[in-house]
Amino acid sequence: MYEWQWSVILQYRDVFMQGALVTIGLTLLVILVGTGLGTILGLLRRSQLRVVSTVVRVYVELFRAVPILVLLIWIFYVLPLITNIRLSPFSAALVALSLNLSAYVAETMRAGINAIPKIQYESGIVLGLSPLQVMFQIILPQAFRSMLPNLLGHYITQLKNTSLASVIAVDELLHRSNIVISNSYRPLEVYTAVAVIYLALILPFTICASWMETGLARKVKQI
Amino acid sequence: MVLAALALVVISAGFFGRKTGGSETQDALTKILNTKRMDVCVAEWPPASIKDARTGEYSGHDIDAYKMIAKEIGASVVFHDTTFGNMPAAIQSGVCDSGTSLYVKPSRAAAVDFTRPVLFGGDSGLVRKGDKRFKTVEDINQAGVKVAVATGESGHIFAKTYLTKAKIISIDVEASDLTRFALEVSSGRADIAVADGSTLTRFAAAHPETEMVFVSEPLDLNPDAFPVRMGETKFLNFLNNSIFSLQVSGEWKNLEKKYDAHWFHEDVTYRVE
Amino acid sequence: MENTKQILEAKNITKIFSGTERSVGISDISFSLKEGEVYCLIGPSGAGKSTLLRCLAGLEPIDSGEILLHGCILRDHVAFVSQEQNLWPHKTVIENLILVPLLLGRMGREQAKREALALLVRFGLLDKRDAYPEFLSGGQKQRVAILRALIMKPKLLLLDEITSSLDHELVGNVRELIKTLALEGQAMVIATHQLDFASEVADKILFLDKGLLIKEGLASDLAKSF
Repeated sequence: MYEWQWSVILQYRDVFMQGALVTIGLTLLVILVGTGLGTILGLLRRSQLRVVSTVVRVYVELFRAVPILVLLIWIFYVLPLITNIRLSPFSAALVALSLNLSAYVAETMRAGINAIPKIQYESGIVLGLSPLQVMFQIILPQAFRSMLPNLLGHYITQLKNTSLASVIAVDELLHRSNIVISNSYRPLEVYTAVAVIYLALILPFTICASWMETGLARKVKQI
Repeated sequence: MVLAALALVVISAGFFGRKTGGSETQDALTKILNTKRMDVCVAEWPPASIKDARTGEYSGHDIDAYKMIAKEIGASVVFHDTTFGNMPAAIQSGVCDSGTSLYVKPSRAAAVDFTRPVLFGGDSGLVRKGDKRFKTVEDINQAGVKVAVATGESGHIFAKTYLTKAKIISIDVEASDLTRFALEVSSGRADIAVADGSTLTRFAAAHPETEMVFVSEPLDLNPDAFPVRMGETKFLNFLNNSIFSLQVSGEWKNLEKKYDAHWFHEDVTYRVE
Repeated sequence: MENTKQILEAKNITKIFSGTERSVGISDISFSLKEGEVYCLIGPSGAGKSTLLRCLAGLEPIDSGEILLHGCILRDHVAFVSQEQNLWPHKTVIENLILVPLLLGRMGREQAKREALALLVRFGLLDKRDAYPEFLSGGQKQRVAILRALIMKPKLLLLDEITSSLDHELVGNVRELIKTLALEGQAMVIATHQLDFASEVADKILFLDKGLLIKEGLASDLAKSF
């Protein structure tokens, strides 16, 4: 009969907390960088210049196809061999996860912008706005609202993907937990705690997503 | 997808077409002497290398040995976390100059050089408490006996060679989790786990539902040594000489004693001629 | 209308649509418009009314001919409102009105708000200033779309079938708005099905059919012949 020893969780609770903080920090940075880059790529995807839109297409295909674990290891171990670029584990994880996220954001962005009726674009142009002004003031704000549930789904995936960074020893939750296991030899208790912590981290995102979908984020003033 | 494949081919061609780090940069020993910094990869393996989960501090006889060796040449050591599986890659790519002790197996020796052995580990067995079935290798090597091992490690190699009748359950420990395969015994999915005695002893101490077998007479003996990047002859020689010095002077023995390690070593006697 | 300046000259405009079947949108249309004049384009569906207006608004390139604006720059002084209303759904009514003047630097925020509120008061929409477009009726949306163009003080207003998609009850307010603008001297080219409305507001009526300008004349004259 297996004897559970939950005291190990209490004993190392500060370690789990520190790991969770790094997971959150890495996730937020990945979201920031990946969304920014993905937005630019999504816009460039619509470029009239064939070269530009093709390059973006290749980028999107590449970084959606390559498994993140492979990308992580490649950036951390192979990049220093072929260039002089040597990244810290955290930076390598940030780059790998951001590249992956940006590819998905670019596709979501492209679909989101295309879903906005062309007439919205025209209505800005005929009133004298420049194409850039129309894109950033009229099209993108609307596109973002419809894209948000989709984007939030990608963000949740990236939060879970941060656990892959443990293979290059980023001090996120899973890596810290592995060290706790090597100190305590109580993996089942540790993995149970880790599962609960990931659930707690993801819950705000899922609540946010359903909040967005029910439209409560909209400011509705008196009619 | 075709475009993505083409891009991968171009990038790979660029990779294979470039010189790797070694020939363009200085050798490891020169770099260490100039920068006063030695980078060492650590795949946790108590008591050889231990990382404190709270403080992040490293300890263990391998860790202390590296610190002592580096101190002799006025260098400090920077330790980098890695896994057993990734350590060769980390060394090849230059993340570190060498690593803490790894089991010397031919496939690893094709990727990295190894120093002289720093210790010899023996494989032992872990069973559920009260299970007295296994007293000899033949007792394990029976049809219907389920043996849990860590994929690719010494226990796996022993089992593939000598336990041909038993069912082998091999569990990956790439993520440096040394316990997962031992859980097979705790959970009843395996009858016995075979792996290095040090790891199993620590697991048994934390899991009262299990106990050790083949401790005083281990199933086999395996050399463990420090891995070094291939071709780094000067650094390899330096490490070998340093390790030899620690072993002959008795310092290595003291370190193992400090961490309550009970490894096997060659029985060497020195006398005055 | 003595000594009023010409602001728009359309000379032999032709627009051809190339798709699976090459079709003529409009062919060889010429007319000119002075400040303060209101022209209505009348014709059945597919006559080319919308095509002509979109060409005048610069939304469609023409294949031959010339469009000349006098004392008037296309994006600064010409405004176009279509039947699809297309208010920006993520902005409230007042935000829809002030966005463009603010972005183009035509006026400061306070002034833009004042002018927007003044327009809303004038045309009976003040109570809707903080509403989002989805909560407006079709007629209200259409009027807001026109006000969004008016706040820019256009020299020429192009209106494309702006009452076509509205229920009969809602059409009245929109027509009143346009009549008011006409009386105030706003130059307009209006595409519409409704001959009675055209004869009320227009100085001239242009009849289009199958992309051609069939007839052109003073509203008062043409109305008598129907």
